[in-house]
Amino acid sequence: MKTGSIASRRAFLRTAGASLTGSLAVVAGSTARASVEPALAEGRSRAEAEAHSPQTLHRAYIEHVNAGAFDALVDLFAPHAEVRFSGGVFVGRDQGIRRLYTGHFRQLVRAEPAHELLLEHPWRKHAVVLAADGASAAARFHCLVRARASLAHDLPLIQMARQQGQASIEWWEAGCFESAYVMTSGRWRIAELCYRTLGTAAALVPRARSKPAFVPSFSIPYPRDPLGPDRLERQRL
Amino acid sequence: MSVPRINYPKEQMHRIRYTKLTQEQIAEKLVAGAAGPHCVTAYSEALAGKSLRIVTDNGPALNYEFQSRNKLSLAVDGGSASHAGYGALSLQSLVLFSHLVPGTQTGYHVIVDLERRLATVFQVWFSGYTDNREVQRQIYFGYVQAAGNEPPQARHGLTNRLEGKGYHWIQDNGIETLELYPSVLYSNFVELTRLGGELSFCGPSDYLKIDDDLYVYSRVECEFSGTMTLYMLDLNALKQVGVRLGFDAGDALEYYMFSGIGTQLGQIASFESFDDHGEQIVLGNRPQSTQKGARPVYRPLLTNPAMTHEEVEAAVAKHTVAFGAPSPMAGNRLPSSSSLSGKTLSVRYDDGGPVLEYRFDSAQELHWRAAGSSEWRAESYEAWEPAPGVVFFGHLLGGSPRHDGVAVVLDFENALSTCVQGWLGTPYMANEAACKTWFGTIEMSGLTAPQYRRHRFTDELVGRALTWNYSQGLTSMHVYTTPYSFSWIIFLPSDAGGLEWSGPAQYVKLRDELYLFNWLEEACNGALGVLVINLRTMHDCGIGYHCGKNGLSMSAIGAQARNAGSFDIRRFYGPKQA
Repeated sequence: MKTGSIASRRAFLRTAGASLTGSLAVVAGSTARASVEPALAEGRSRAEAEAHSPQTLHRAYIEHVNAGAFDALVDLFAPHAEVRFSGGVFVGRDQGIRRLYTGHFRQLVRAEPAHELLLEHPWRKHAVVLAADGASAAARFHCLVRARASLAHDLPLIQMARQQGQASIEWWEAGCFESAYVMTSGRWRIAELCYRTLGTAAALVPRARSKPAFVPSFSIPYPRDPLGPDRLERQRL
Repeated sequence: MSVPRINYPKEQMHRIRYTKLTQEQIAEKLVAGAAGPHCVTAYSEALAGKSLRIVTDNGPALNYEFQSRNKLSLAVDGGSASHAGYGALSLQSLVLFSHLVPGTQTGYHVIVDLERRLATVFQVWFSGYTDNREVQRQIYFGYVQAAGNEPPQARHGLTNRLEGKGYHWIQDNGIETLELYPSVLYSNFVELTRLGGELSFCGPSDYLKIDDDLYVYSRVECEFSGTMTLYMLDLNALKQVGVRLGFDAGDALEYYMFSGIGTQLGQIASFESFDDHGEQIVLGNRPQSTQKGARPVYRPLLTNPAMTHEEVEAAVAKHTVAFGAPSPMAGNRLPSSSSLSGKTLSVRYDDGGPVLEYRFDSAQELHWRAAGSSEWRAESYEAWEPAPGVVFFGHLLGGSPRHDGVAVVLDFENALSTCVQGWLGTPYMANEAACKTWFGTIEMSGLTAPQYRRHRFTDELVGRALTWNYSQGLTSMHVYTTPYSFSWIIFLPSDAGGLEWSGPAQYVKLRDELYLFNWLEEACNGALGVLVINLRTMHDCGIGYHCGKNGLSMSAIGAQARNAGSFDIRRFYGPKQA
């Protein structure tokens, strides 16, 4: 299992697929084989095709988050992509999504050592849904997340805990990315990214804390909040 | 009329404005220390006439020549020799000697373990922090080199084996202290003779193990005088020998050695895993500084700068809230009570205290007015029932020039009420809360109040230690250290005690095993906390009242407790008799 970074328990919400067009083919179980078939059909080698599948793109996303490589992470998105995060919708790769990752995540999450860690590992079968024309896909990737949230108050108790490297709450949860992908210039890009919590990971990580902390959602949109979302989600899950 | 036994200081330590001594002033004052420390007890001759070469791990090699029992020369890492006065005291096979290096602001406190040929060196220096008077220290573990012998492999080292212990010490110079070790990073001390034993204070501390009987303890009074106290202690013989180095409140050099006898006051619980013996102190995700002498030190006024009166007024005007957003301090609070909703009553406090009339409109809204006033004021409030027949609630007193708030106990079974009234502003800080505890009665239809009986101040909690879990990941331990103060300790990731701080406090007994407790975070963030502690349910409910740059807030507190044991210290706090 790898560790990396993410800010809050309520990471990427809502379901994917709204931006997909055309008929869909559900692929489950043999997802890797199915999702590379369009590339194979174009005459690419299997290794090259697998290097450009939604699965590898999702893996790259996770690795970039874990490594805090936010500039490179933004490049994984399509120009008009959306990310739903913590009650906010961030629109556009070079606008809202860049603000989210290189602003909010880097400044408010990575800068505070108490915020850390997303740990991803598949523990159920993934599912990838390919459009018939091979130009878009929807996918569900299960994961196990180790989340940590800072206690942001300025109470002396918390100040003191922060000074000795604490004042944070860490827990494990089972989650699911439900994302949409588009093929752009021969490469998969993330068109929409959502994450939802499936519940506690108590059964999966015995003896670990699995009770989530309260993490406030975004409540003020950009530009009033310079790092805020383009709009607030109407329905918060 | 006899002379008072205790010379109470005009100000307690957290109120003294210690002079910010310059490096030049310190250098001038240290000249007197070049002759070595003073001592009431005769110094040991254990080292007189000897030569020692002490080799430390990752530190200096010290070549000592002890010309007599109070003269030595030291060459560091083969450099030229310095000559200084020193003092040495023995404890079993250990010798503690101390000296300054003339012409510098550096000195050494060295523990030599003659049986095992081990040595532990505390290199100490002034002018190493913003506040020049604060003694800095770096600990080096090593050995005494002996020709023809292999260096010993063992070393003295850090330990958690003192954690939880507490002692009453009487030094040979008459100084009496209570010293509690509830942490591996900090300790708690009550100066019975110097300061009258009213309040306890805390300082960053070191705990070293020599063997199962012998240990070394040191602390620096950071954020106060900056003075260092270090001693070796024998747990079985209950003896100590030590050294004190620093500048007192009058800026005079204090440099003396002492021996003392002790009484063990008890042993409270520690919470590390059973296999953890404390050889290392691991912080959380904050990397430990590698700077020489660095260690975690809580500096409350650095974190919470004092505000001016104008800043306070602006902050209060900008944002004042009672029982707003949930706080991590209330994650385990009791459920709110609606039992006051619809009631009308008055509370009348003795000795010129307030008389307040209440109309409780709902479970969150009330109207109040001072008796005799025609104006009712609406306020938000929150109430809890910490024990059957007892309701605890609080609210701001809107319109009061000091931005007062009250935390009120209504004891319906006894028709009694006790109120902690807080307000902003002390002679020291504009954003610091002050408070007054009022005792009185409830006046309402169907209740007849007692004429004489009241809730009363108590020392029943003094000496006890309770852990308080406020919410997931946020737990502290309270040690109720004196009848007028307490300390709180934050746990490290290993669940060893970590940083610690103290504040003035008051304890009121409401019923058997039910207490009203308040504390002030003086010379800190200025907050007032008021709790009702139920030792039968081991749960509390409470109210925090605080003004900072973001405004004035009154908020809920709630935590679940565990018993962590107690120290036998109440007997030290009664009025003194010659």
